[in-house]
Amino acid sequence: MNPICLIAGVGPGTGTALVRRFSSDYRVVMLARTEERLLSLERDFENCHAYPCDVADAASLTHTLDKIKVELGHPEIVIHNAVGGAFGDYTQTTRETLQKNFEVNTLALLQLAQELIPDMTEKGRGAVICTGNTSAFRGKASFAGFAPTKAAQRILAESIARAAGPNGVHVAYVAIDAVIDLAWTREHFSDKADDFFCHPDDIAQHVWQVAHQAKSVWTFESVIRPFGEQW
Amino acid sequence: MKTAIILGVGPQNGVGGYLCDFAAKEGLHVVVAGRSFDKLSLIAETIKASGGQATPMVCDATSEEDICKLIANSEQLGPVDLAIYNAGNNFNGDFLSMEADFFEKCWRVCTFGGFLFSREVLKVMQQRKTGCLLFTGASASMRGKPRFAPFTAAKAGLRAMAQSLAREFQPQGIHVGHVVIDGGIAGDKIIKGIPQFAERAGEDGLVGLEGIASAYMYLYKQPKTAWTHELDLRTFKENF
Repeated sequence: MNPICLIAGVGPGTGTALVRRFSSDYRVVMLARTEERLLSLERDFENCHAYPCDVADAASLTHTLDKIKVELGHPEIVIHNAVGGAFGDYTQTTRETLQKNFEVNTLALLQLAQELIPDMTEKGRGAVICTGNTSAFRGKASFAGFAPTKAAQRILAESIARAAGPNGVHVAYVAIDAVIDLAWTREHFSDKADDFFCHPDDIAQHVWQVAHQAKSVWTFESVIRPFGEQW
Repeated sequence: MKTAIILGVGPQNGVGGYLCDFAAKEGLHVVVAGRSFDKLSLIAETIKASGGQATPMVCDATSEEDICKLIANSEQLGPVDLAIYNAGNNFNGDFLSMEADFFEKCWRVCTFGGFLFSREVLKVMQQRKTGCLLFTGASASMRGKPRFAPFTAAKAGLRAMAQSLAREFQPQGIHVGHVVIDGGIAGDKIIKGIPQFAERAGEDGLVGLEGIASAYMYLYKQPKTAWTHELDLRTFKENF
């Protein structure tokens, strides 16, 4: 039976592309709040299992992970792609917004790591990949409620990588420095050419590559961007 | 047939040797470039024996004349689509007694040669608006450790140059990448040259050649809507 890949955060873009890419060789477990999307993906792809869940809700996440372990088994690959975002500078950002995003982006990673890495450690193999973006490195004015949580997430991933690596568990951070090709970004950037956008399937392929690196050459951090991106 | 130039090739069982082998398997005509003809032709012959295309070319990475000839002669074989600057040895020593020549020589191989190589390669790639230029980095590219002043200064310089080139030439369709190999490499230089180091590193303690070469080829093949500029590679048990 194929090993399990758990994807937390399955939206219409990167998340769906990840499901498509990994479902060829893995039984894919999908965690997201939108049950409807997960059920439709379950119909579209073989080997996919919907587990509707809010990763920011610690009790619900634990309950869901326990259920997955009983019903399917332990994941070999975990991809934390769930993201809580917000626009607004410091005058417009509430404590609640920052806190909520911290729960989704950072605390959920901690919880996924704590509840899923022990089994990987026991087997001496496994991978935890976290997807991020430029906010993990840079606090732009209008990202006050978001960038701090992505930066914290990246540093947490680095810390977990250093602790888990010697036990055979690969932890990596993939940052996407681009506008991703989605229906709403196409509308918003309607004057841009096709190759201005980063394609979700190309992102998924990169995550796949990182998740399958030989153990003697692991990458922790990689940034992907379209060729024309200003950076 | 498109051409790949790998500059800085030594033993077959080293990063340069593996890069040549992997580039040949991608269907590229490989220009095997370095200082020692015997080593280069051995690698080229091995590639040809297994059905690939390869040509050895002797080149001193610090000589402007050699580099210009290397790129021009490679273009004769086919358009250069992949170019890898892999030249550079680890220079270290006592700082206070260090000769000025020693410091400068390190910079010439690790940084200046990279400039010459990039300039000539980018001239031809720019006309075609396509191609991939990769650099080999090291732990010293990121961090200055005691006794490594010349090497770290030179490698950090090369890295910064690669970043500048990426920002200038990627919008023109040329992928520029820098690979940070963070640790000792499981090649002849260490395994045969300093066996005590290899022994101390233990099983899986050195970065593997196959994984390194496949990482370069991965960068080469990335679609242009999702390019990585910098990739760090280390063995799983590396303390970093």
